[in-house]
Parts: sequence; C-alpha cells; structure tokens
Amino acid sequence: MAVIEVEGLRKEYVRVRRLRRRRTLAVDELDLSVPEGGVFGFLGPNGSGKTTTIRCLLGLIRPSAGEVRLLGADSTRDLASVIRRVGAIVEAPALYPGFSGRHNLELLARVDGIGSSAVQERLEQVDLAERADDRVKTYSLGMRQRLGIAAALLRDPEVLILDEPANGLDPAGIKEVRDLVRRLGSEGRTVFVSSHILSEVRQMCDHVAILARGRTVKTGTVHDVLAGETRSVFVRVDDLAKARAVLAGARMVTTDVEGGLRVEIDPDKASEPVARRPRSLRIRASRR
Amino acid sequence: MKRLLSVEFRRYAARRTVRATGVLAFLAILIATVIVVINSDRSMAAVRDSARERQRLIAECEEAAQTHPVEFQNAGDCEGFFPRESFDPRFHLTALEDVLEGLSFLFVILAMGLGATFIGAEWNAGTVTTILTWEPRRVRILAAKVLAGASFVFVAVMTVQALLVAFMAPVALLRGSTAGVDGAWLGDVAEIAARSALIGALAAVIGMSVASIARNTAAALIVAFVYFAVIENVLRGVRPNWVRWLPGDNMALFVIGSEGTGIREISELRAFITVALYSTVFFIGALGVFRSRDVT
Repeated sequence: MAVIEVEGLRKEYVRVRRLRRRRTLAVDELDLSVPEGGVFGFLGPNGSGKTTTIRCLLGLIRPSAGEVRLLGADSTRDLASVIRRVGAIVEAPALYPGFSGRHNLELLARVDGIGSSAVQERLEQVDLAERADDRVKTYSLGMRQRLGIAAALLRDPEVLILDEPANGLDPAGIKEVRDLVRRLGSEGRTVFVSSHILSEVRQMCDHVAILARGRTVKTGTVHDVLAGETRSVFVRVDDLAKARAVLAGARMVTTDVEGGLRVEIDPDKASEPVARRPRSLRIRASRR
Repeated sequence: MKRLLSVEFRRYAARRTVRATGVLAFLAILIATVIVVINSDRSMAAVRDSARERQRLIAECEEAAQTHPVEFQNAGDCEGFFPRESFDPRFHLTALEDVLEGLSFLFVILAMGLGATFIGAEWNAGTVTTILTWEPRRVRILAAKVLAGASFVFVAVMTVQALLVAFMAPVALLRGSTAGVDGAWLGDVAEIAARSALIGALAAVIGMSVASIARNTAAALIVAFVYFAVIENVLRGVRPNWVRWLPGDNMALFVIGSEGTGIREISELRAFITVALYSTVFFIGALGVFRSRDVT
C-alpha cells in the first residue's frame, strides 16, 4: 500500500508585484507513490518543488490541480482523520524561540494529550535531554533540527515527513541526522525525506524520486535509480607526486588533468575517510 | 478543543511580553500606592486646614464676582469652582470608581496590542506551520487562539483592577477615608471592572483578527493606531451623526456610561452589542482569510 500518493499535482503561485500579477509554476503534473516502510528520498535541486509538494501533502497550501493523498486520506479535505499518524518538519523547524525545548514539546504534546514522559523520551532519543531546559534561541542549528525531529516523533508516527532535515548542519550534524533517519526507517516507519544532495539520499534512502522543474523525472529504488552514477572531484595540490602516491595508497583512481588531479569516488563510500593527508600537503578540491 | 484552549492559554501566560506587561502593571500599582500613601493625610488638622483654605478661596471668588459682575455672572458658581473633594487631603476609596473608568482606555489599547502580538508572534516565528501539522482544522485553531486570547485578556484586566483595589483599600483604611464604601459601591466597582475587562477582551479579538489577516503584529498595531488616532477623530468631526457607530465611542459609552461620554442617543447595551458585532465581523473575516490562504 502506498502511504503517500500524488497524482497530477500542479501548484501555481500568483503574486502581485508593482500592480502586476505574476504566476510562478512550482509543481507541474507531479506524480508520486511512496511505499510503506523504509526511507524514501525526494531528491531535487533547490526550487524544484519539493517543499511545495510537502506543503500540499500537509494541507498547508491548496493544490491548483491534482490529487494528494496521505495514508489514504485526501490532504485537502480529510487530513484531520490521519494527522495523528503523521509527524512532519517543513523547512526549518518552527518553534517558540523564547521557550525552552522541553516547554515547546510539552505544548505540542498537550494538543494530543501526550504525557511528559514521552517528551523526555523523545528528548533523549535526539540527544537533547541535557539542554532541554534552555531556551530554543540559544540552540545551534543542529540542535533546533533535532528538536524539530523530536517534535515530529512525539506522536510515534507511522509516517515521518522531513523537509531537508540536514540543511545548514555541519558534517557532524549531518551524520547525526542521517543516522537518526536511517534508524527511524529501520523501525518500520515510513520516512519521507527531501534533499537536494545526491550523496545524502544515496546513504539514507531505500527508494528515491528525482524531481526537476516541478515534475518527477525518475523514481524507484536507490540502487536502480542511482546505479552507474560516478562522482569525481578536481583536486589542486602543491605537490602532485605526493598526492598521487597518497591516493594510490588508498586505492583511489586518479587522472592527471591540467593544474591537478581528477579523483574518482565510489559513491557508496563517499563520506568515509580514504587516506590521511600528510601535513606537508596542501589540497584544494572542487567539483569540476 | 479543550486541549487547544489549554495549550494556547499556557502559551500566552508563558510569553515574555505578557510577563513584562504584568510586571509593569504591578510596578505601576505599587508606585501609585506609594504616591497615595504620601499624599493622603487623615489628621483633623490637615482636614481643617484644607477646608479653611477652600473657604478662603470661595470668599475671594465671591468678592471678585461682586466687583467684576461682567466676568462673574453667576457668583453662586464659586462653590462649584472649588469642589469639596479637591480640598480633601484624605484619599477616598470611592474615588477608585473614576480611576477605573479612566484606566479602561489604557486597558483597551493594551488588550488590542497584546492580542495582536499573540497572533503576530506566531506568524513571525513560523509556528503556525508547526501547529497546522498537528491540527489541520484551521477554524478550530484560530477559534481556540482567539477564544483563549480573549479569555486571557479578560482575566488579566480583572486581575489588575482587583490588585489596584486590594492595594488601595488598606491605604484608605489607614490614611484616608472609606466613607461611602458599602455593598452598592462594591457592586458598582465590580461592574465597571467587568465592563472594562469585557471591552478589553473584545478589543483583543479585534487585535488578534487584524494580526491574523495581516500575518504581522506591527501591521495590526499600525492599523489600530491609524484608525483610533486619525480616522475616528476625522469621522467624529466630519460626520457627528456617525458617533453612534464608531467603535471607540461605543467602547467608552459601555464602560463609563452616557454621562461620561455625552452620548445620550444610544443605550449602554446597544453600545456593547455594536462593539461585539465589530469584533465578530473582524473574527469572521480573519477565519475566512486563514481558511483560504496558503501557509507558505
């Protein structure tokens, strides 16, 4: 059974600027089907319509056309009947900055009559128990993101919708969120996660839908859709021979190009350290 | 709905703006109490001296009236020029009635501002999105917010007035006068306080509704300021007959009555209904806008 079904979704924003109506097509005839269980990646560049689709799913915006169903319920009409089975973060988690993390969660929990023990449990689950009584405005971006995930998890939802949960995080924060999402997906929930970073989706997700200009261009298992994708980075070094030796020692494939090296990266190991950089070697890398 | 109301009530109570306003109100009451303690003197000598001073001024006034009959056409008015209460050094608890009536204007402004911040802050922090992912029925959400906000303001205004009476009563007992204080007076004071709180709650509904439509606190405050400071005054001058329909005049009439406002054509009940109607119209407008507009 598909937990999220989108058929022919179209969303057009109309904005009035300088007395002129301007229409922007954010989503155009988008189709999507998210199976139950596991982590589903919603991959696309910024502005491709990911957040608009998520907002339509959660009833925050009305589609111009098409159908959006969440757990079988029409998102424009019957969302209230299924919302208790759904947890979501849309863009950055929006919480009261002047209240503590715990108070924020307690207020949300009260809406559903959830006890304070569940709040404590979720805070511990996202490693925020120690800072739970500090004001949210003192939290780092990563902590806010984790608090948002804790809020989304309060209801112990079947479906978790996370819009770019690793956005703006440092590498350690990205890894934390990635591990958390994978863990949640392996618990039997359906985690629908949007991202504009290919490697992130590759490492987190079981299924993926690729979005471009408001349309789904490819969908399937991560293995099928992203198979054959190779990545390479251009590396500029001050000592070419030494760099070549270090990378060869790490069994990396390198090609000499003008001004540096092109290094092929195995996508499945993209986030793992492959070699220790000698102190004497200065490196500048770029995708080129 | 009960849970939503309880959550909103708790949220309002925990807001720093609300706590700061509460602390300021408490300080103002404290300062007013100290001033009254310093100025009130119930000793016989002080009362006698003040009465003597008043008599002297009245005598001077009557003498002047006789020597300059053109300027003083009604010599008998001299008593009225120097009212007895103004020359009484004692603080009279009964004066609180006028104080509470005078404060009602301040309460209305504060209530409207607080109401606007209750909703405006939600849009500013983006928490409307969060709450809608918990309860997607928008009518319930806004109704809970507005109902909780109006109840909160009602309770807050009643509490501030009760505190003022509670602080002033011992001062009157120990350093002033409680003459005229009886059950009927208490009833009158309670009625004025309740009317002020009720109008405050309705003003908060208007503030919350405008902030919800504009999705902004500042916009709501600017609209309220422009209306009450400019538009209503212009309308009052250009179209005197419209006074019976102006929210500001109806609010004042409901709290201080026709004698205080000089508006005799309409009853206090009608004034209340008019203000309640305006609040309802704003609230329904806000509900319509909140239901139909995208939350982006």
